Amino acid sequence: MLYDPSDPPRPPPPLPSTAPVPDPAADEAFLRMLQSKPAATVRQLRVRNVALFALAAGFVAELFYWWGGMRAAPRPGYLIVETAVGAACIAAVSTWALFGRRRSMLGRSAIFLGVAGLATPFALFVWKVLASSQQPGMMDLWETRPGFKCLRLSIVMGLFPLLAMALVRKNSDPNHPRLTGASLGVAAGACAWVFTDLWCPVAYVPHLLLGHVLPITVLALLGAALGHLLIGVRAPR
Amino acid sequence: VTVVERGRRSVQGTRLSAFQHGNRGAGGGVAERDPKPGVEVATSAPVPSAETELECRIRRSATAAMERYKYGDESAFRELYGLISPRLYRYLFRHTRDRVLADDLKQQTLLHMHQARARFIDGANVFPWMYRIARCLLVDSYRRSGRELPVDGIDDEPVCPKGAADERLIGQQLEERLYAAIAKLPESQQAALGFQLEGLTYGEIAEAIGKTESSVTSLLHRAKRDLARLLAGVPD
Repeated sequence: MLYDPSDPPRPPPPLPSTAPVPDPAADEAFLRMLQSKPAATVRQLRVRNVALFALAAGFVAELFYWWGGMRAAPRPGYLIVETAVGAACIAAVSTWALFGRRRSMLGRSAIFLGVAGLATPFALFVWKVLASSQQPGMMDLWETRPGFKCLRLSIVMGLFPLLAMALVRKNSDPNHPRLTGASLGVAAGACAWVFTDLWCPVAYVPHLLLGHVLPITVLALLGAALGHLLIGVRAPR
Repeated sequence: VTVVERGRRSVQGTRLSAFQHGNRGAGGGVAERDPKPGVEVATSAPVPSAETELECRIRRSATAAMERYKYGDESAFRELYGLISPRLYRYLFRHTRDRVLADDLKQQTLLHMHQARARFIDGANVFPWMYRIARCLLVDSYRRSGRELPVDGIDDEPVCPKGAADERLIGQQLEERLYAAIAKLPESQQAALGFQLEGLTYGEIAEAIGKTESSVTSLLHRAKRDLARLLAGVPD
């Protein structure tokens, strides 16, 4: 936070002298009440967050294994490495941008989240198409694989990290909780993309749009709903 | 020989990082002695007023207290409470004109900050966070109760002052009229203008409402234009 001489912080004007003053006894009672209700410590929060992410990663790994694990054929090995490593890098950057809060308690601006949220599926899609188009036959139509299995796998795998991230960010965004939730959905979808990419050899464009890009949109919508329910700041009922 | 340097100060010189780095550069604008003997250089950088320095110091103290509270110093919250609670009450009372509700919302805001102690990001500015939570709870409270933010009094002309008591009364009436007019603006304009009236900088307002500084500039411009219309009684 820079101090700009043309825009210095100023003290707020005092209330008119006729305005009622708060009750000091109520302040004291409130502070005593807070002492009797200690909040989670840094250590407790860290343990909880690590447990949540470990649980989410465990579920994703288990599901991926149960779904059949990595399927290479007919892709050459280096293409799998190329697409998966590229997708993992994009997912990592996207998660850092969409889940991180930089140095503000209020997170990133709406414009930043919007741009990063739109850029992520676009970057993943372009990377997959560019890498696969270098190999003959990789982008051909697969009659038996329209993309519904990939759609299901991506959505189910993205749900665990989405839920973990939403719980970590619970009650933390008074500004734009839906947008933050949607951003978390995109980040979770990007993580799910990496696993779906290892599982699915198809790079036919309509298949990619239905089975790989659409789940990110679905997860973003789910994230927006979760954001409204979990991430926003609300008065207690 | 006095040489006045205009516009030669670097960005670091004029945009003092007073919040993060203490009062370095607070002497900007005061005549400095040039290395060459007998040559005085008066800089054109504006002098931060005592008021501004005090505000920066309060912000740093609030951040430091919240950090200490985060890492387990239980007494730090009392210090933080002393720094921010009067401001919070003033802000909420101006928008509610109800002592009990303002007190209640103030406590809810502070309770929220207490619960988020472990999530506090080291070095983060407490003020935009605090005002944003308060605004959110204020709007939420009105939405739940089905009430509107108070807009009565905008059409009341203030009485002419005669004595000290009347001056106080007119001050109150003017303030009520101003805040009643603000309550008629769209939510984003209300929030931005309310935060500016509380002394937040453009950067802090941008952080508090989740927009860029340039968006805040245009938002405040529109808000002030609409507010002037409302106060002058001009229909849209």
